[in-house]
Amino acid sequence: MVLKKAGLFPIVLAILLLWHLVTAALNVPEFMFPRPLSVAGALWEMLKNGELYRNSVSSLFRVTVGFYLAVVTAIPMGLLIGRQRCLRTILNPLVQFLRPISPLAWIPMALMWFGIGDKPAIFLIFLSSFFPLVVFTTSSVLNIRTTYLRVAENFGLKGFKVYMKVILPAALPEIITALRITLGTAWLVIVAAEMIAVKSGLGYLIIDARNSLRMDMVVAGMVVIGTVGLILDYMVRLLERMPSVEWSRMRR
Amino acid sequence: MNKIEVRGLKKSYIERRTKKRFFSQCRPQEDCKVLDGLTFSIPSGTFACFIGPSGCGKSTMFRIVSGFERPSEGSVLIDGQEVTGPSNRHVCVFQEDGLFPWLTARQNIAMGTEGLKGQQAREEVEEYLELVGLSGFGDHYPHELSGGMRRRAEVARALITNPDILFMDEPFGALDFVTRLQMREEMVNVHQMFDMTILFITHDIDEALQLGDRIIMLSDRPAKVAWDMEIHEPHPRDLSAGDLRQIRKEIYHKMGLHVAL
Amino acid sequence: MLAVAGAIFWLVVISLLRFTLPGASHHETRLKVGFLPITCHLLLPVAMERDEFFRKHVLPVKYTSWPDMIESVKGGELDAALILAPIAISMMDQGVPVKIALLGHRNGTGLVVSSKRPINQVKEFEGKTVAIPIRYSTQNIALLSLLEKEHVDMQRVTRVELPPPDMPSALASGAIDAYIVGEPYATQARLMGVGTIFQKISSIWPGFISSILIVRKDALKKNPTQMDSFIKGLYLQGQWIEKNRRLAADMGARFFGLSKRLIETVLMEKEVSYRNILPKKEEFQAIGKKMVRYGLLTKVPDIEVYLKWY
Repeated sequence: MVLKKAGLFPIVLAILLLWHLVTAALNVPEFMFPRPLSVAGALWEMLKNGELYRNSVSSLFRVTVGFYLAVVTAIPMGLLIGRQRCLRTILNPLVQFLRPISPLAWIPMALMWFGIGDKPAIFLIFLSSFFPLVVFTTSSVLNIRTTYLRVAENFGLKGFKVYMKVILPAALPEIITALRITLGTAWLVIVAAEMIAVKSGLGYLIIDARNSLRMDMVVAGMVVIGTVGLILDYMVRLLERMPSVEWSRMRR
Repeated sequence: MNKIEVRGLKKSYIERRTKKRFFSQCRPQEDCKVLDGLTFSIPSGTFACFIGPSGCGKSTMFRIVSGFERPSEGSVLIDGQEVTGPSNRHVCVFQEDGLFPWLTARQNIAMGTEGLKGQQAREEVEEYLELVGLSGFGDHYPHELSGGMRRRAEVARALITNPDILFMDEPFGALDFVTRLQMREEMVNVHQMFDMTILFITHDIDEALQLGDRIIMLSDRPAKVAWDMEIHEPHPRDLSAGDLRQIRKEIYHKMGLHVAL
Repeated sequence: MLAVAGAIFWLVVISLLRFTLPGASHHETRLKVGFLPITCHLLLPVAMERDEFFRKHVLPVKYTSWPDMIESVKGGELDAALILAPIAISMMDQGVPVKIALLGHRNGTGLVVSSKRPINQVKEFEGKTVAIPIRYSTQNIALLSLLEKEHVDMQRVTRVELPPPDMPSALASGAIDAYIVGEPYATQARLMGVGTIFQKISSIWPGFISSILIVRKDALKKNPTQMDSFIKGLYLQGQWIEKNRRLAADMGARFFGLSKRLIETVLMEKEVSYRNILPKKEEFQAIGKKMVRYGLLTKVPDIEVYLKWY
């Protein structure tokens, strides 16, 4: 309980200390792996000149738009595919074929169709999130207890009402988990995509820093990326606490 | 006219699996007969209990009569009409928990109040919560309620629609012994309060004896009606009383059990 | 539902932030010039700092890899670019409408070997791994010429393409045994203490050309006077840099985001030359012939040199 109250702080401190001691003891040169102090300095530098803010906003914007687009298209589609067997037989093979193709393989197409800037990045994020979300949603619909569906039938719920009042709420906990996983992937993809195809964002920041031979900025960028990823994950986990989602965990 | 009329009900499944045997008695690719010509009539207002050995097809019959499955042969008539699907006039309480876990008890029960407006609906829901002894627990979620409380909420949800028929498939099977006894008492009250036909499946012979005006015993698969009898004892019933003891003995005998009482 | 409201709120917030970022693009009338942060392209930052015209009319676009810039030139996104000579020649072969207008500099390249396991003779390159920035570079051609001259079997020397910033650390870790690249990444290894210069490029290939300025024909047509001022401006800075190396190093370091000490060291060596940077067709034809010899081209294309600005 004490450990929980103390929270993350002592662990972070311990890691920083270890980092410093190891690099100092082994005499690791700065260009191989910088000391925590120089990374902190680089972080401060990037904060002051606004680079951190600008690039974080760019990356976050792209992930937000791409992810939202995927959510509003994939979840309804997943719900429908889960329920209608004929849709499933037609669409499932297509989805399973497109899914394993890494979003990064789509980069040449994305650049051709959307030019450079935000649009190709958003497209890549959309791709990386859409297919897994459809698959997860479909599987969560198929996992709904038959009893609930029978009760719904019994009470005369039909069509759109069934989806909104029974299917969606029943599948929701698994969908939220899917959101969490997919968002994590999206954040991974945006950094990778920005390293190749775009001129701004946290991924680009890292590449640019590396080209300027500033390893301290590279590691600082990594720290920022990791932190933002953590915050994003936390926000989605908050969703899991809603009573309309919590029931799935509580039932054990 | 009888409320529920079943004639020559037969049901077979085609066993598709070749590797794993679904029904132990069936060979693969063969028609697996579950129900072999059930015939019975249930007048309006009767509390009918169905008993029979485990796996004999009680649940299958339940699903067909309540409209979730179609028979292979035979007819099922309710109010003289062929049953084509489930209806909200014939509410089911299934073996498994059917309460929607994402809604509170109150919201679940309120599902039956479609068509009623605000204040009126709220009052009705409150009434039924009280009826099943759950006042004060209306805003709890199912995972915050005990098994018995959940079942009660489900019964309340079924009753609030004022159904013609209440179908119940081993509703108290998962509850502990004492709660089960309490629920039995409440079912008797419910039946006496509301004028409805109840079709009640149970594996517990004592439960059937306690509750039913009519007991129908199904044989082992493929199921037929093995015994169909009426019970006229007034409630509350003392199961150790002479008549009921006799009936129980006969039931055991018919089932092939030789348990000393 | 609170969650949905929160989600919409976040979308609005991040969009607002995004579109209030400085430099959210509007119609661009300035001349777009592509560059990489290397000393071959020093003319640009010096001009940006010293020439009013550049600050008003030129937009430098920073790239981090050659292929990205190549795509942009081909797609017409850039009006001009500082790019490797063999790439330019290959583009002309493919029919990309560009002309050569100026040289970046001469001799700004180093062949670096590991200081831990040094190579002393050309013959010792056999069986080793050497990194080059890209096969369409005069660095690659210079290496192949050197090996050929000393009768070393080219097949027995492994060449790998690496991004220049990665080369010093690759050398330090032993992943490669040597590399040849434009400055400042050659001197970088020396400063890091992991490499030494094998031979000066001026002795391997006198007057060595690496990066050049190319301009798109359609940009020339659209804005001839502006382009001419631009090219001339760069040319004049070359003469200034020759006399003011230290100051130029400072400007370059700031613009490229590289260490001042590094750029200074490179420039003060006096190896790099900004004199004599007018393009001569024969020099490029010679490079083209070498490209054919080493299998980088099937034939030498018609090389267009633009000198009207002079």
